[in-house]
Parts: sequence; structure tokens; C-alpha cells
Amino acid sequence: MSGKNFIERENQQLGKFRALPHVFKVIGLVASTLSLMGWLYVLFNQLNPPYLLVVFQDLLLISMLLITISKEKVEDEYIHQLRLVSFGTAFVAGVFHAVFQPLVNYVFEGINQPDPSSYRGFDGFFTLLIMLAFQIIIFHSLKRLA
Amino acid sequence: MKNRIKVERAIHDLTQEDLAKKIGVSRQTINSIEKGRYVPSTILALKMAEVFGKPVKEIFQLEEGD
Repeated sequence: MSGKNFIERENQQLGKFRALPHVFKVIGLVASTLSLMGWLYVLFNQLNPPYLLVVFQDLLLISMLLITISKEKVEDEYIHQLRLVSFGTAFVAGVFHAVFQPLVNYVFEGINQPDPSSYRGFDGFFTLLIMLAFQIIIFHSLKRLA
Repeated sequence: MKNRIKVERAIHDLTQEDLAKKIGVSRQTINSIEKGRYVPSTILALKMAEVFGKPVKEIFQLEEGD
């Protein structure tokens, strides 16, 4: 598929969120509750193997994603607008959090003895870079074709 | 933009839920439009006008600053 065809296709689908059926919201809600409980249990009891924590973290993220991309019982234009606003807000908040949280941690951890060599930035740099680049490229491509 | 949806609903003896079902949206959507928190699309405005049997401009009016 050429770049122009892709953009035209996306433009035609603009405003039509191809979400999962509503039942996935319920599945996501149950799965995220269980994953959160499992994650907290492993975290506070410091269970082994260590990768168990990562498994529960990933399960939590996937199940929350299911909630995010599932349809409401009644899908209408107001719901689409709310979803758009919530995605936008979450996206910006995510970038701010990723950039500033390590800085806040560094300031509070090193409040007595600041050690610049111990500063570690956000390790998901490329994830955010791709998200931001996609948003900018797709938004401007669609706008140009409007 | 102001609207007369609440008045029209009362005239036609419709609850928010009834109106929502007639035009295929959620009750929350009707509530948000009524309170002026959400401006509906032309399609939705036309559907409402059809239910109330009146032109769109009698249900929705522009305010100063719109």
C-alpha cells in the first residue's frame, strides 16, 4: 500500500474508532483487577522469580489497554469526542511523567548529597519518540489531505 | 449555543432516555447537549429536529460570541 493510499484510507476512517466489542471491557476490568492484586502480592512479599513482577505488570498494562480500546454499551459521537480528549490528555500526561518523574526522583533521593552521575533518565525514550513521531506525521498528513 | 431541548422534551413528554433511544445515542449525550457541555453534529441536530417536528434553528440558537 502506498503512502498516499494509506493516508486516504485513514482519512476516510477518521472519526470511526474501530474498537473491540463491549464484552472486552468487562474482560479487561476483571483481568486488570486480578493482575493488580497479583502484582501487589508479588511486590510486597518479594516473591521469586523476579520476572513474576514484570509478568504481572505486563498483564496489567494489556488488560488496561483492553478497557481503553473497547466500545461502550452505546457508542455515539459524544463518546468518540470523550475518547479523543482522554487519549490526547493521557498522551501528553504520559510524556510529561516520563520526562519529569526521573528528575523528581533524583532531586528527592539526592536531597542530602546530590550526585549528578547517579541521574538516570527515562528508559523508554524510543517508545515515546515513536508515539510522538507517529502523532505528528499522521496528524499533519491527514490535515494536508483535508 | 443555547438550546430548547428540555422544553421540547417536556412538550412531547419525553425523558432523556426516551429521546436518546429515538435518535440512537446514550442518555449522557442528551444530558450533555441539554446542559450546553457538548455541541452535537449536524446529523444529530437534524435527528432531534425530526423527533420534535421543528426546524433545527428553533431548537438550537447561536449566542453572542459563538
